Amino acid sequence: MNFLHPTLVLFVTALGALLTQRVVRKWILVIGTSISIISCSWLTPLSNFNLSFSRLTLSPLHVDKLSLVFGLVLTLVTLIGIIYALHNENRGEQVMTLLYAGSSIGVIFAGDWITLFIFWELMAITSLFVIWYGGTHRSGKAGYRYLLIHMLGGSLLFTGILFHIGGTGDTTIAPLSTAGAGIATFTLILLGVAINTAIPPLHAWLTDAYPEASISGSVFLSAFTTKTAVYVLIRVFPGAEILIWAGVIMALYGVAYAVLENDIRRLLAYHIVSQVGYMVAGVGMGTQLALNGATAHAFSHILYKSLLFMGAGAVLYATGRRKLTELGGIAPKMKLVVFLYMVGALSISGMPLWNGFISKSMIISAAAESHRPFSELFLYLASVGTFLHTGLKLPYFTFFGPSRKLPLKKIPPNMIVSMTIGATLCTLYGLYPNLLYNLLPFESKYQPYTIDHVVSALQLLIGTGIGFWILIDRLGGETMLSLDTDWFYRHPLQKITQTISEGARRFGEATHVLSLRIVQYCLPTINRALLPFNAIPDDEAADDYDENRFRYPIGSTISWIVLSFVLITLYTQLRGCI
Amino acid sequence: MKGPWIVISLVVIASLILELTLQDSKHPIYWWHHLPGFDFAYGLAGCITIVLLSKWLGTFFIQRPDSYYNDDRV
Repeated sequence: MNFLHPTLVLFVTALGALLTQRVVRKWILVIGTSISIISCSWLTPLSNFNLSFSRLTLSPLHVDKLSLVFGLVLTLVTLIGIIYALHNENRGEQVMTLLYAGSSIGVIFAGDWITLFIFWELMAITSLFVIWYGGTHRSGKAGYRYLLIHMLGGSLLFTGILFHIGGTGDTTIAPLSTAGAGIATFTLILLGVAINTAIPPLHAWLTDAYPEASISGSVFLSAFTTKTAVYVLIRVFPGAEILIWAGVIMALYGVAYAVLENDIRRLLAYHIVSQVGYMVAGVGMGTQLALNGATAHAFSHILYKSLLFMGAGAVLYATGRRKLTELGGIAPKMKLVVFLYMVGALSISGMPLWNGFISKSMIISAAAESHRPFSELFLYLASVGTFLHTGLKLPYFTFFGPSRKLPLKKIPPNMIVSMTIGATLCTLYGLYPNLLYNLLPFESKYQPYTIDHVVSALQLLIGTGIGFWILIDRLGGETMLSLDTDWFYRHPLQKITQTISEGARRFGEATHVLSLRIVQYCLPTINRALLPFNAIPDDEAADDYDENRFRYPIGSTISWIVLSFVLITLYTQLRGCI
Repeated sequence: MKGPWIVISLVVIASLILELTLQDSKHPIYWWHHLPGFDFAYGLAGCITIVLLSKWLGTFFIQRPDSYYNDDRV
């Protein structure tokens, strides 16, 4: 056996974390997740193995360049996140986090639909617990909504998978087309995956639930669910035209909502929607460069987005505040956090020298090269919005801006260490893009550091910066919330449910009253008619002898018995004749 | 606050000069790829459009008071 499945490593680590305490547990967490990175980098296509049952072959480990690059970055971010969460003594949360990470890596290495689905659902359940470990009333409610949406997605996916296996008899994961797989299978699987990819209008679970998790929980959440879904899109739906527009709409949708957002982690969550939009559009374009771009952008995104969530988490930890309107002026006391956050912010904004630039520009170039001018321009516009919010608005109003003299809690060193690792990786891949490009699964040449790419990026960012400066008075947070598509199941659906249950209650009461009235009205009449049977003597008269006292009750009982005896006899005798 | 503005202006000017002098090295597909200063103007106009449009949408359609869903109980 020349391999170790990273999911298995993480599950065993989770078991170890469950059974141990304090320092030992911390060591197990760090060592276990480090081993998962090593085990992942050892994997080769030769490591593939299958489990055969009588009529079914499962491939829990299917390794190729695409699964390797995703596996590698997910195990990396697991280690970063685990270090970030080391000060957290909540054992349940750590175990669930590892199971969540393990399941999503299980999806990545799944070679057949059944294995994929099992890990897909496991991922939904374990991530639900990660949300619930936020421990607030809001996280409880948001978790339930998250569960409902993901169960819907899981059911759609499962139905699609059954249709697919029923139609072709083939369980291996391969690209689907409407012509080959049939429109129903194609649509069901695409919808199931689209829910996890957070394509509007199916995205609201993300911005609803992610900001409610604990500070370390949201770091993990930001990395796994959407990116495994992007991975499945790359594998199954490359070149599906509809995804281009879905992706462009996502990219702009997230940016538009981020303008209005006051909660720092929800603002970052809207930027997950926006950034995943680039990847989805890349998958839709389907060229080698675009697919490589989507893969590379997922890789970069996981690194810089976790860094940004770690930065926001550090602010939340130190101040206990999560809204832009309540924050401000803390930069002098949190210089290191500001610096590390800004590395993430410049990365996501596509600033040359950092890793967002080397991957995002691939997708935008792919749009131009495949002659899609509108996609190119709209995606380019979305990167304006990204820099505006993540790079300027959020840091300005959180760290700088008017001081609110907030008391600050000291940030644990492990949080700084993990942010430093994240920032180093963002910079490393930005400076040496070939480290990432050599891992990419498709054949295409791309050179990010050409003069025109760099000049364009710098001009765009400076233009955005000046726009920000002009509009700075209008960009501060507002103590408002923005309605999103979750409104449909939070407001009208709730009202409909309330109306139905209230209606049912009233109907029940009314029929109860009515039936009582009927009984009240009919009882005297019925009583008279049944007098012989009801004439049970009352006990007050027990002392006086009455020869008729038991005559009616006993007589009627005997008559019932005789009657039933007659009926049974008749039935048995006549059965033969009929 | 003059420092950053000087740096920014210098970078913009330098980038414009580069764009004008190195036209040959580019591989334009659409006209905006070889229009000097396009990216700068796009960034500025895009930024203002995004903010104003979103704020307009927010004010008239999307935004509600913070307690709208009434889920802030502890």
